[in-house]
Amino acid sequence: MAVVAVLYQIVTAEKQTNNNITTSVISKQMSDKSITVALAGNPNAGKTTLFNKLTGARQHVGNYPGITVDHKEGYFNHDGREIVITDLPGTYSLTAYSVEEIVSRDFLTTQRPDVVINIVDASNLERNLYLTTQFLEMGVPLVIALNMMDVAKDRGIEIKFAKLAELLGIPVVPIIARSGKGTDELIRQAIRIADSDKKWIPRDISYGEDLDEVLMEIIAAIEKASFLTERYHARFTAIKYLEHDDQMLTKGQEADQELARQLEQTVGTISDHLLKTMDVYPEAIIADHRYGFIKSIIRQGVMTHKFDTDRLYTSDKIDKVLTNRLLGPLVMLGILFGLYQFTFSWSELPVAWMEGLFSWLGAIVETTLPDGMLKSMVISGVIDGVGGVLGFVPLIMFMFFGIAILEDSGYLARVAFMMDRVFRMFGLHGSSVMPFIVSGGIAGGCAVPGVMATRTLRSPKERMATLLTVPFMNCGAKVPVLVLLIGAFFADHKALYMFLFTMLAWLVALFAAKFLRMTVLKGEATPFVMELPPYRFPTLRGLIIHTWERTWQYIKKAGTVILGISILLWALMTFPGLPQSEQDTFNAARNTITNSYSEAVQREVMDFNDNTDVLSEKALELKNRLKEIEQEESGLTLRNSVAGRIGSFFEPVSVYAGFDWKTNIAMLGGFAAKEVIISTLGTVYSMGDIDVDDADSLGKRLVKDPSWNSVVAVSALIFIMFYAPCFVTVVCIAKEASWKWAFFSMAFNTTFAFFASVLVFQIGNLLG
Amino acid sequence: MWQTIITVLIVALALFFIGKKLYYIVKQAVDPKQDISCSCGCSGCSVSNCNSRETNK
Repeated sequence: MAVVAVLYQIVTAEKQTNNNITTSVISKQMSDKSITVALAGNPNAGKTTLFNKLTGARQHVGNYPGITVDHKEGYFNHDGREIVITDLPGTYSLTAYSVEEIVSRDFLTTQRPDVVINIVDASNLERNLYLTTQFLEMGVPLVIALNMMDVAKDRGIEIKFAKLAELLGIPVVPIIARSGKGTDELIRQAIRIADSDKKWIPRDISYGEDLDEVLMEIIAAIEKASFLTERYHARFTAIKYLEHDDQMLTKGQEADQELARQLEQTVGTISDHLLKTMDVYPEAIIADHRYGFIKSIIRQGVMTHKFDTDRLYTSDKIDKVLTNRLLGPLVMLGILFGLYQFTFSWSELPVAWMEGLFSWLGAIVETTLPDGMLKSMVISGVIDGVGGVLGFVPLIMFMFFGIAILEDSGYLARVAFMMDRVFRMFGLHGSSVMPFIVSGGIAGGCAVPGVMATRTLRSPKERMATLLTVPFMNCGAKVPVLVLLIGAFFADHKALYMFLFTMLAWLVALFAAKFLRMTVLKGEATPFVMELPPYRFPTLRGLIIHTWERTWQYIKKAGTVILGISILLWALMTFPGLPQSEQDTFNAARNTITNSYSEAVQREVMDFNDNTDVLSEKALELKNRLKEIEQEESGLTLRNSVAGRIGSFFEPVSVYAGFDWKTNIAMLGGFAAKEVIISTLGTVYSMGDIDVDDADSLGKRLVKDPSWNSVVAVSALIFIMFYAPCFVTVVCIAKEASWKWAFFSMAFNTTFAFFASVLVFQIGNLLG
Repeated sequence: MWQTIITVLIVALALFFIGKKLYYIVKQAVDPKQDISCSCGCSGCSVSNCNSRETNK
């Protein structure tokens, strides 16, 4: 950690110097004739799909709300014009109620894009136009992209977009973001609006006699004092004051304390009046009038329903079964088990091919390279280390394919919906479900984006409880380790064990969250409303892209980070080697044994060819005795190495959980990245003293090692699932919370994991 | 002897690579505009923002 602290200081210093450079780059970009476009809209309206379509970025599109926390930027050219496009987080309004809303609003007021493309879901027009009215109130240059026209048509909804454009006074372009239909016209209209270089003029919407009067009074005061006018139009500021917008109130206090106090007093008076006379707050009246404005537009023949509006859509019909209180969870568990069954059964043969490939590679190096340090590194560090991780590529690929089907069809959002009910029982927020799933709730995610996804939670305590428990999920790095141990010790019921360990991860994470919420993170739960997107047929192209993207990340990580760490760990397991005196002892023992046999037998062993020769009884005996000496020497060399000494240091404690010093080395390596557990075990068992056939897979080597059995395997599985998150996740927790919480996470998780493993090992041994 | 030299070079290269990776992770940790996921390289990162950002660089 001292190294991290030093790096932190270096980076902070470098960041300071970089700030000036960044500013000049932005200034240059601003002076160019490129057009800046902001994509905004409700969650699941198709913003990210349109963003990907326009920029060509292959960013994953999820179905759960709030996938985008930060804004994303992309570039593309249209008719020779460079368009810089920003994908803002999905929001339902521009009130400073959630992080996404603040991010979107701040971007619009500080960056002031040339044009805003408001993606509106045509199948949910009325609800989506609520955000549109707020853009109009803000006065931003706006173009509406009327998306999902095909879905609206299927639902019998017909929208007269030209009429809508006329009534709103802005261009409305019907599009289908998924296929790209209408996007050319959309960009043409966006360029036209951007080039028109109009000032931001807010649309006046009436909020009723009482509020309109106060509004005029506040606007006059704001304009007179130029109060916050450099960023916001006076009318927008006035509306936000009436809505008791926390962010605007704070900014007002900072800008002009006296005027802010006066405005708050005026708003307070009207609030009291409305409360007394109508029993409502101004923000409720404003929302009502916005919806009134929308209704008045829609009633002018903008939208017609061909079918009965009470008719159940296909998605609703499916949801009647899949999200049913009783049937839904059973179906969910069935699908999860089916996913593992599919993954294990389909990947069995390709995994065996991969094992064969790496054995073959090992044999090639064994015969071509002369004995020495390089040969040891290539075989033990690279082939047996990294090869162990790469061997699971087919399995990972099948698993990701299954998960991609669940995601792209919209089923994963239903999982989140059903888990929401459970989450509330454990003191977590409904928004916590998404970070859990992203972290590997179904297996195969990553805790880093999971930790970052907790940004959507507004309550700091609920966010912290989620942030600290998402690393308990079985991320993509833990999966191959789990598969290795389950495959080696529970080969007959692989899918069942994988399913049970996934369930265990959820249970532990939820109970840990409950424990945190009852102790260090006590507090009330906040309400949550979740939107379910319609089911969609996944496209084969989409499934292949999503599967390949993730599989490629796995391969890339194995070929870069894991390879680097494996080589370093090999060095730690090799040096400083045995002292000369001990080497002499082994050499002497070898000479004594060899000399006790006749010269003919010695020559037979020396000239022995593995592939063609058959040894005599005496020669075989000599060969085996020499091999025993060699294994004893390599075992002692490994134990005497830096890594071996560290592993041995922890052995007096770890032995209570059933882990010997070799396993300890792997567990320590796993802190760098969980896949390193496999590569380290591969290297340890390649270099160590285990008497097995050289061509054996790591799983077989573990089974043959007397210090491993099924009880140790379960104990190790539990420890691996729950101990300290990997280094990157720890840094991410520090970034999202603080170093204090990052260290807490490491200590809390490791302590829990160790005691759980000890319990399992001791009880398992007692039961025999 | 040549095996030792090559091995030492490879180990030094691995040390440099991992050190550089560590440096960037910490660098991204202190920069609020950066996502750590862009450097962690996990398979789960395809659901985060880094892919689009990397594609557009």
